[in-house]
Amino acid sequence: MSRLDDLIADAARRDPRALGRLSRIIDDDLEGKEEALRRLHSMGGDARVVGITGPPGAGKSTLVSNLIREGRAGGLSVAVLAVDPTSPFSGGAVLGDRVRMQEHATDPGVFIRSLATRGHMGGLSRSAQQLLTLLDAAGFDLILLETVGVGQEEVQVKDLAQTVIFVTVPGLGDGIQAMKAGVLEIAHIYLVNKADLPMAETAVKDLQTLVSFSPNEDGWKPPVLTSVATRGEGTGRIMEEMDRHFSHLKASGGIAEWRRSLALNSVTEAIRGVVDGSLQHLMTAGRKEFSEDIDRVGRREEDPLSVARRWLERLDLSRG
Amino acid sequence: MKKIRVLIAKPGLDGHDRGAKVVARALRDRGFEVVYTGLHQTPEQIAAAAVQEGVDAVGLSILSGSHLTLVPRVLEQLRERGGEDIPVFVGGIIPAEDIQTLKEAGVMEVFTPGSPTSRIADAIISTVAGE
Repeated sequence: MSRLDDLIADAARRDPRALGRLSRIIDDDLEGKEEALRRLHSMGGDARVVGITGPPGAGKSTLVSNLIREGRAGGLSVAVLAVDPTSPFSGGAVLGDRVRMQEHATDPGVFIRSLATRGHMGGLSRSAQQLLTLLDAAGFDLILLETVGVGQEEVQVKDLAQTVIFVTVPGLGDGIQAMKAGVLEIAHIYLVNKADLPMAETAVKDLQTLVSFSPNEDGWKPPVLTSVATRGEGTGRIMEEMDRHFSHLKASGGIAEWRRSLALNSVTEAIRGVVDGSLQHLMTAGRKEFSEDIDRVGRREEDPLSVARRWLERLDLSRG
Repeated sequence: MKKIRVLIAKPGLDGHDRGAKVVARALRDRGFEVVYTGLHQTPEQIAAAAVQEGVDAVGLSILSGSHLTLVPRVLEQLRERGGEDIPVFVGGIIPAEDIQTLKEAGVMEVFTPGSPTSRIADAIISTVAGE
């Protein structure tokens, strides 16, 4: 058997070393990635995926840690992908979500992988969907997907997760903020964490108003919950609502819809990945010429779209 | 594109993580992805995290004087979990006479107070590149 065969066989029995290595191959576009993903894709399909999103410091990682504890107590194996931002200057990142989850580090039924966005917009990394394929193939019962701290528009998690929990804290904005489009629209469960702080009731009311306005086309009315995650308060209720939403999805055909949206997201991301990779290759190869074109656009001797078209004609997609 | 990915951890009981944070930040600014696990980590937790995170290197920050106990246990835990190929670096207050002992136990390099962070980054880069 080849090294890749071994890794995939080991990953299928949730060996952390194999999962760590494969996640590296996938995240870093290393040799064997496409072959691995081809095979992993056919192995999975049963995972339950819950997305956790919300602003920085709202308590997402602490909530994830609480959900791991709750899931483990219920006999579930749990995997976590936790995303933190990449520096736009150095390309580096400090990935600190794990700090809140380290009590689960040595539990053989738990696998935690930190991820950097690497410039990807949408609240996740480009590799997040592919790593989901890996964790799904490994047979984890519950996969928790923690986004970067989000503002208003990072909504990719809705394509990857079956259930989305939006975590917020008291005092972040008034009822008008809650009416705006974007990330506040996508959740199935709203959670006001740090509910022991002043203004918690106002935050709950604003979210209840938001929920009462939303169309609920799928017949699900999102609950608004409270928690104090650092003390574990409220976790049981969140888990109950997660289960209730999952049952609702199964009964309403929502799981099939989710599969389709995940497949759509996977294909479009794969296309983007190949185009981006080819583009990077082309720009690197033609660095000097490209830089001259940029200067010409800067001097207004040529417009950006014409330059872009000329470069796109040279794109070799087999390089992606 | 292969990034350099490291885990920075504080094993044991000392509660001073400024040094670890300075190093984490400096490595970030050199383009590394730095997984930070926080204070009071057991060798088991550190090794398990390193293996799951698929890191290229582990950096241990120890100021408590218990390096001769903790570091070998981290190395042993890494071996036990299939992470014996992950190089380990140590930083902190380490007496000169212990540096050789740590290196003999398998530590790649030891950085004492005042080491420029650029030297730490360079050492990790050359170790990872040389693999």
